[in-house]
Amino acid sequence: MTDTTSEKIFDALIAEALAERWDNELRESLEDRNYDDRKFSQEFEKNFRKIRNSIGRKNRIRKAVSICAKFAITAAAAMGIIFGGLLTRSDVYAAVSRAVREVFEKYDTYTYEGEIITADTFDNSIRLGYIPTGFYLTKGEYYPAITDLTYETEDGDILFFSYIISEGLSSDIDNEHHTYSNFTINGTEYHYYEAKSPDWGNMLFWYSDGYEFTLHDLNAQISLSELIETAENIKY
Amino acid sequence: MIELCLAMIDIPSDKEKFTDIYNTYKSLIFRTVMKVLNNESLADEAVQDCLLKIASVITKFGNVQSKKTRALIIIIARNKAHDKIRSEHMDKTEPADEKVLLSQASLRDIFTDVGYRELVREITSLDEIYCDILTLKLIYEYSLEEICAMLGISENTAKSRIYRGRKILKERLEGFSND
Repeated sequence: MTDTTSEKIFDALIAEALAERWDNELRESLEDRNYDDRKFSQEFEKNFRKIRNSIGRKNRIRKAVSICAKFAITAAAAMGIIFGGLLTRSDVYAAVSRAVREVFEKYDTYTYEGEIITADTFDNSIRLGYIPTGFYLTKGEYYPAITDLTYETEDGDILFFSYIISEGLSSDIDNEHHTYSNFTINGTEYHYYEAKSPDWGNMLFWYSDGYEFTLHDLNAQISLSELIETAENIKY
Repeated sequence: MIELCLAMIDIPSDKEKFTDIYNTYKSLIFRTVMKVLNNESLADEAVQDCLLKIASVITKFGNVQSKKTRALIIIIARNKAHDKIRSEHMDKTEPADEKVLLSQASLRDIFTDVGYRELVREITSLDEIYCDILTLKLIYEYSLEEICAMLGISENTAKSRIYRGRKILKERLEGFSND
């Protein structure tokens, strides 16, 4: 028997023995009721919500960075200077400004058509011109296709403001734990997802100038009118 | 560009899964880290570290109620508790990287039922740090890269722990066969 075969058999036996150990440990863990009634602090629960709501956001950032990197390499290699020329043509730049909402059982999906922003033309200097009372900027994350700004109050309430290149974007928004409404103000269509319980934050997002903008009130503390005022006062 | 960007999807069900995991296992996570840390304040921090880690690898989790999920939660929680100990400068040792080969003699011994029972006994007493990584590798068949992401360790550390765990088992079993 070769050493490799011996190793494989040994590993298979270890796996079998480990499975037995786990059967015992999992059985014991089901019987152990220590700390079952332990109450975690409000701060802890708030941190939990922050972590939960970061799941999709971090994924978006990772994907956006990866996509931009791949896109930049592909564009540079395959199209070179020609690509830069195409971007200046009016038919490519033609604004159609359209958000398409598809409704699924637990989430809505948005896709966009409109101005084409690339990593090269992405403007990461867009900011809030109006910030809800008590919030101040605590963190900024800047990537080739997405900017993510975090505003917090001293009480720990959190407001995320982010914008991302909308071209080719597909955004999925939870509709199971939120109530959807939409409205148009000054020609901009806003989509509002109001949390059905305080465990889920409120979200307002809209399309403009090749970007999908999102205001995410993590603790559902900001009124809709104030969110709209914030949205209407974006500074380019 | 469009094909690439279509991959840019937030999955609301992942948030829901994370919430389920939290509600189902928060006591288990706390119990697990308390067994290692025996300090409620440090345990609270370790639970949060653990939740962050679970969030970052949420796609690896399937059915929330499954044995596999429960085992992964325990493994991640234990690992975060050990990280906490290390960050508190209570233990900085890390085993050396070694290659282990099993001798034909000990393999023959393990083939017998008595040898296998001895292996089970040795695995029961094997340090959790090795038991957990061998579980991820040999039972759940995660790649080294996936294991590193789940435990937040380097590839060298992962390899080292796997080799070290196997070596300990091998030595103990050889000791058994010599007795």
